[in-house]
Amino acid sequence: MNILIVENEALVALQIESFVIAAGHAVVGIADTVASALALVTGQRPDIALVDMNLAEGDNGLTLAAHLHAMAIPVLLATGNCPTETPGNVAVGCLSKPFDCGELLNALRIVDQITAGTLVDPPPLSLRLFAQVA
Amino acid sequence: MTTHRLDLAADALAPDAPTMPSQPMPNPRALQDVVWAREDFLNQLGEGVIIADATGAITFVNSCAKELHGQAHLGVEPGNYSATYNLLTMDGEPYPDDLLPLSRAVLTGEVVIDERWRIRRADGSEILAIGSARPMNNEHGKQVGSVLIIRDDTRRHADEQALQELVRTKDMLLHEVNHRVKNSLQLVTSLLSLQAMRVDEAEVRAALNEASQRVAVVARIHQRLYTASEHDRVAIGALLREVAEDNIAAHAQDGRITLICACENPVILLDQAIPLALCVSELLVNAIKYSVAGRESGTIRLHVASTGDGNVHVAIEDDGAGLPAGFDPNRSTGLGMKIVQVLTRQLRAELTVDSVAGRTCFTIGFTPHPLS
Repeated sequence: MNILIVENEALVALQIESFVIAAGHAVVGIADTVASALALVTGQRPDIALVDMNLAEGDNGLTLAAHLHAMAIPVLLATGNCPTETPGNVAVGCLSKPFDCGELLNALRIVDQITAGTLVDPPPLSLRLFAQVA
Repeated sequence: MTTHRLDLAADALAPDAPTMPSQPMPNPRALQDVVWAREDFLNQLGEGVIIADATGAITFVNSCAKELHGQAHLGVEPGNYSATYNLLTMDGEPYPDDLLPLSRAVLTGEVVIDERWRIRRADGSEILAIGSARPMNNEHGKQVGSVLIIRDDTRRHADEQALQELVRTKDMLLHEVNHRVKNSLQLVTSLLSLQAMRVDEAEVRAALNEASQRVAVVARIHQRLYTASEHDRVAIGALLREVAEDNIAAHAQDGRITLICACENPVILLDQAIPLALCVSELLVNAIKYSVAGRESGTIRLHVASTGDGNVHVAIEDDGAGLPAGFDPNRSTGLGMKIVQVLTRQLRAELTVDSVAGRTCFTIGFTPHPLS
C-alpha cells in the first residue's frame, strides 16, 4: 500500500513511517498541516491517508479528511480520543492513540479491506469504524 | 425612611459674596428646591453616597448608604466615623479613623480610590464594602466638603476568593502532574539502564543507554516545569545547559570535556521546548563524540541567544577534528541526525552546519510561538 502520513509530532510520524516501511508498504510522504498534505496528493494518489486529528499550526485533521474524502482517498484518523462519528462520514475509521506496530498494520489492512469490499475479520478494539461501513 | 437633608450642598452652592459682588443673591426658596431635587436623585442611586462638610461632619447619607450600614447618623465627626458606623479593616480590626477614605479626603484633600473595608451592621451582620472618597471643591478650588461613594462588594469578593482558590488548585494539580510525569519518565530511564547493564553485547548496551538518555531529556523538561511553577513554558538557556551537563556526564569520563555556556534564557512554550531540547541533545552527543575523538580532552560551547527579530538561535560547537567531508545533516541516515532532521522541520527551524578542522558548529534558528 501507498500511505500518506499526516501527523504533527515529528517523532511519531517517524515511528509510523518505520513501522509501515518495515511491513513492506510505501510512504507517499509525511505532512503536518492541511496545505502540506494536499500538496503531497497532487500528482500521486495514496491508497490510504493516516490523519492525526490535531495538526500543526492549529489545523484540524477533520478538515483535511473532508478534502481527501472528496478526492475518494480513504482516511484513517488517529487520535487519543476517537470521536463516535465524523461529520459527513469523511473517514473510514479512527485508530486510538497510542498504538503499537501491530495495531497500526492491522488497522491499515482492515481499512484496505473495507475499501476493497472484502472485509471479513471483526475489527480490533483499538480501531473504531464509522457508520458508513459498519 | 428618615430623610437626611443635604444642607452642606446648599452651603457649597451659595455664591462666595466677596469675590462676586455684582452677582445678585439667588432666591433661597429656589435654591432649596434644587438641593432637594439633588437629594432625591442621590437617594435613587444604587451606590451609597455619604457627604461630609469642610470640617468632616457628616451632613448627608443617601438611602443606599443607610441600607449598607443598617443605620445613618448625621453630624458625626472624622474621629468618630469608625466607632459610630462600626467600620472594620479587612482583618476585622476596628478601622483607624485617620486612615478611613472619607477621613483622608476631609483631612488631607486626598482622592482615595477603591479601598476595601468591612461594615458591621446594627443587626450584627457584616458586609464587605468597596469605596472611593474625594474632596469637593468650589469653583475657587476651596475644599468645601468630601464625598464617599460605597458599594457592597461581598458577593464579588467571595467570587474572587473562589476563583483564586480554583487557580491555586489548578496550579497544584499541574505541579503534581508534571512531578508525576517526571517521576514516571525517570522510572523508564532506570528500567532502560538496568536492562543495559544486563546485556553483554556492547552495541545493544549502547543502544539501551542512548534510549535512556533520550527519555531523560524529556524528564528533565518536566522537572523544570514543576520546579518553576510554569506549566506550559520553560526558560531554555538553563534547561539546555542542564541537558548538556547530563549528556557530558553520561558520554564522557570526568574532566575530558569542558563545557562553556554563553546562554541567554529566553522562555518558550513546551510544544517547542521538547523538540528543541531533544534536537540539541542529539547534537550535543554528536559534538561530544567528535570533540574527544582521538584525543584526551575537548571543549563544547553552547550558545543560546534571542536575536533582534524575535528569533532564537541555539548553537552547539565542538573543537574536534571536524565532520567527514561531504557531511550533510539533512541527508545523514543515523538515528540521531534523523531525529534532528524531523524535529527541526517540526520546529520550522533552520539547521545550519559549519565545519572545519578544529571547529564544528551546528546552529538551530527558529521563531518561538507567542506566549499567551
